[in-house]
Amino acid sequence: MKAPSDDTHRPLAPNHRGRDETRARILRSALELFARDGFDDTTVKAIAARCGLTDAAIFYYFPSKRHLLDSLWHIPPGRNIRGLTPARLMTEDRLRELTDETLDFIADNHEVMRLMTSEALAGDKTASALQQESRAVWRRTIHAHFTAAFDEDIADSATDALHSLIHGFTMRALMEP
Amino acid sequence: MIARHCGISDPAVHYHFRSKSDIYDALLVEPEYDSPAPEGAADRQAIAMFMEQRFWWWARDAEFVRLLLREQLHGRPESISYLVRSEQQYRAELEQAARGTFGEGARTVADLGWYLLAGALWDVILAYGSDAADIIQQDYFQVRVRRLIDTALDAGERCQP
Repeated sequence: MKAPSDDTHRPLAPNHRGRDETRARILRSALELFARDGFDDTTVKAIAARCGLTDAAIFYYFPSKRHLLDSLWHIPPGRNIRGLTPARLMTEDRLRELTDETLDFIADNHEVMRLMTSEALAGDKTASALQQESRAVWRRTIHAHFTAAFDEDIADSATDALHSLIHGFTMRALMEP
Repeated sequence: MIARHCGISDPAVHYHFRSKSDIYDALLVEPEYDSPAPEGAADRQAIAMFMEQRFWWWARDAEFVRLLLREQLHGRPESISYLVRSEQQYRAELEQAARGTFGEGARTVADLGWYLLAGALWDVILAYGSDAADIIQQDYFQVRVRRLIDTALDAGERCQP
């Protein structure tokens, strides 16, 4: 068996790491442009220009612009919302902790959040489903915290108030240029 | 499509608006609220009613808010400045109205009132899509809105010295 050779001498057969890096670079540029200009108003040519490739090179990795968008949904977020589970008794400290974690998460992933929200509004099924799922998971977790400390109806309105407040705050922040 | 929706002919739409973006610009006129902000010493109940009226003024046009939201998330400057103006006006009117009853807490009422109610409206539009207009009409949603208003007012009361 031949020993692995230096990849730089074999440009026609890039190794997997090189491929993965290019793929990641394309996705990164696509996310930035989709989040800024929206999916419909972004061209593959613009994505190519942003990462210094030709549109043909992009199509080598992704057969269509739609494939690019769908791949973006499958990138795991920079980090998960830490410490949401297990549900504990809701105290003032715990409330502060949950709120901080949630806002940090949104700040770290604001481009994906903005893209997901605007594609869900535009009727993209995958974006809608993901949005619904994360909304449900978040609300369930907060609700479990509140029910550990209060009656059901207080827990209901507290969950709703916290959700509306964070949602209003977040959406407003996503609109900041 | 637009012409069909309002039951007039295509040329009639073009007579009034040169292009689709002209129609959009025309939608972004300053809101004309049908209920004025309370003047003088408004009590808690009057302030709550004012908040409700403002909320329903926006909520009854869920489709318009949805269209705005898309434009705003795409960072379209006219839609953002429209939001900023509406927000400033809302906060200023609410703070002014709440000043007499809530004193220093008026600022909190305006802050929380804005985020809670805008958040609830954006959320229902996002979560329910084209069904949002129906959901908004449901009794439980109206109860939800009243509870959110109470939350903002309770917080304002606690902030009083």
